[in-house]
Amino acid sequence: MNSAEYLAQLKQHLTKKTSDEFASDCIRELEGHLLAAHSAYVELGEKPAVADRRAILDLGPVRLVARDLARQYRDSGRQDEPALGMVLLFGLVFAYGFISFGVTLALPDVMLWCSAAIVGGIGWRTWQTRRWLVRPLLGWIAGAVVAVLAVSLFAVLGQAQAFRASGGEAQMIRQSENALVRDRAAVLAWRQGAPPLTQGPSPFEFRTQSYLPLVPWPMSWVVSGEPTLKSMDAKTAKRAWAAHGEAFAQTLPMKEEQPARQKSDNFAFIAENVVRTGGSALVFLLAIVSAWNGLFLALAAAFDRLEKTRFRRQVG
Amino acid sequence: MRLQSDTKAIVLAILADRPAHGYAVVKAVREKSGGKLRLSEGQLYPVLYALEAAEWVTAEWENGDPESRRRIYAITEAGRAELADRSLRWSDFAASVSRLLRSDATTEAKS
Repeated sequence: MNSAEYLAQLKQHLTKKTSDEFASDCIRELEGHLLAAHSAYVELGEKPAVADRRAILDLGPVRLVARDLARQYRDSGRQDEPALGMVLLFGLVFAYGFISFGVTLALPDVMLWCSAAIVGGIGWRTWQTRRWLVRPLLGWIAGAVVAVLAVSLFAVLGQAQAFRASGGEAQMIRQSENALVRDRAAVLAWRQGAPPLTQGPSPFEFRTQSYLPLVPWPMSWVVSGEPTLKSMDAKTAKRAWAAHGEAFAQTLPMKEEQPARQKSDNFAFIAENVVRTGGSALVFLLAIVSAWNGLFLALAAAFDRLEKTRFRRQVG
Repeated sequence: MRLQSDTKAIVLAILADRPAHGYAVVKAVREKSGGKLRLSEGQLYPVLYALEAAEWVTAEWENGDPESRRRIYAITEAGRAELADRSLRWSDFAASVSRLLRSDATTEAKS
């Protein structure tokens, strides 16, 4: 390989990754560099062909030089952090505003939208920089986890505020009372192996409780499965109720009777959701980053070594 | 010896003497270090572009000719301030390591 071929290859790499103007300026400058190095080696007594080879050997493998130049090109003049901030802010405002104004939106849906916004933001940022490795990603993950926690808190508080404003807290308890009692009674019956529910097909399925619907699979690693009602026809529900419902209903705290306990239960529910959501998101993102980085770093280091060896053989 | 760290400070230090093009920077590093330090030439230009983006150096085609093959880099006031800051940090670091090595050598001699 001579310097003309080297520069042609470099140009090919650079035009794929940068603007034509940047590539052409780089090539021109590196051409000047190679000419200066060539002259210096000739002055030291090397033959022109050898001087040419030594000059390009000093510069290094085409792909690595192109990669470093392209990385610098992408990093300069990019102001995408404020834009990502806007995405996160949009997620927060969306969650809070939507719920506060009383539009019916269940918590998982809020988390879906917020997750989508956050994952989109991270994806967009990594695509922009083409930097898939440890340091920048960890920074964004830390930011994302904080954002997920904040969004969860905003969403739950917003929901609570909306209920309080409409006097809906008591109404919600009344509305969900039957379903809640039926569900709990059935679960209790299942745990105790009550006769009505051990016959016939199981009305339960083991399912992890995911608050990030976009990324359900890793949750199974960290959240143990609990029996959840798959479906329950009226007949089965009646039998479950008959077996355990009434007794179980009496153990449930009712707001009218025990307001203080109900309030603390709400806070416990909020805290549990916030911790569960944040923890799940953190574990999920860290698992991806660890796997990605481990694989990517190992491959990148191996390819770089291979490239340098190949380049030395090809030129020298 | 190949430079692995703070190439930016080294390049700024070279440019603090006088404006220079890329190859002259490489040559100056080699000469000023008595041939002991060698700048990775492939990584020099990304460093120069980063310094330019940070406004620590300015770059102009030689003789103002846009067809020229050489860009001349010159340090700015902000670049000089950055160089002073990095030099100070480096001196602190080097002094700490020296103290550490000396105390190690003294302990070894005593034992």
